[in-house]
Amino acid sequence: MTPSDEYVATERPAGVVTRLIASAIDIAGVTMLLVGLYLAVAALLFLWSPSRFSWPSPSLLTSTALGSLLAFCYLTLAWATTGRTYGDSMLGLRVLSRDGRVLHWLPAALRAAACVAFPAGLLWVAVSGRRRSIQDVLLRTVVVYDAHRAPGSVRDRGDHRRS
Amino acid sequence: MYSTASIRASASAYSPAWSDALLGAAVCGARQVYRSALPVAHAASAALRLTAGQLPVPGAATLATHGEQARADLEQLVDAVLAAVVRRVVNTLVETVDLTALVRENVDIVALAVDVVDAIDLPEIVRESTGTMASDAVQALRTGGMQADDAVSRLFDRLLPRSRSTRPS
Repeated sequence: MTPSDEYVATERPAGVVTRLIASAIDIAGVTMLLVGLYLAVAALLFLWSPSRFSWPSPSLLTSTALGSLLAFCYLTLAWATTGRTYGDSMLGLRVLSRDGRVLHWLPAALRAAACVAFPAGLLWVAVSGRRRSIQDVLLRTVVVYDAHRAPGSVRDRGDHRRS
Repeated sequence: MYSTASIRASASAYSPAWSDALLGAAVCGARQVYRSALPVAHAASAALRLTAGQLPVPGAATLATHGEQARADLEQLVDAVLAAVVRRVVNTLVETVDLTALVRENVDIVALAVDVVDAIDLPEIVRESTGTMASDAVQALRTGGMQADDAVSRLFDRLLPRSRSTRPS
């Protein structure tokens, strides 16, 4: 039995609804981070020069770029460490490689970049018979229901190297 | 009115020697009566046991029934009397003694309440109940999401021609 066959036999891919809800939760989290960053910058500006303080007004392009950068960092960090973002954790999902392991940093970063650049690729999950988004197809990843698995039971990258 | 002489005469008449002699006579007489009546008492007791247990002698069974009934009535009467007495005592006690003042004077209610709250560990109970509610909500969200996933999959299975082997297990 190959690792891929083992994954297919033991895990169940998550569908489009749970993944959309998880993504919405993550977008809300990133938005809160962005707002926090904005308030922190405003507070620093006020402390630097209270007499000339005015609320910063970044352009839409700047805000979008900053939000995308935050989302990229957040997704990469989450997928490369625990395999799940906060939204994934709420919905009981985990992002794994095809052989059921937590992603390396590079695939995690590539997947995060692909998700930030083309979020509509998630909708392919509904069309795909194997419940895979376009990012999953390109980077050979899967998102599975993983609510009841104990922490640490996911095979880590060290096991992957030994196998 | 007694004179000193009559008192002395009475005292000499009821001296310890005379009283001991009278008591000894009574004891000896009682022992004699007991020894004489003992065989008769044994015989009567054996006859009653046999009658009540085995032999259908009329009278003994009736006596036993009457005795049992009398004992039950007596027990009932004792219970009723005891209940009435206890009720009366308690009512009198409660009417007489100000229990609230007694407790306030002799019990440190604040310290007692603090001990009770510490023993209950109220913050832990609040944390547990809150955590349980949040856990239930998350579980409901996950279950509902999985059902919605399956519904969407079934819908697209009908719309798109896909081989069964490509569907998620």
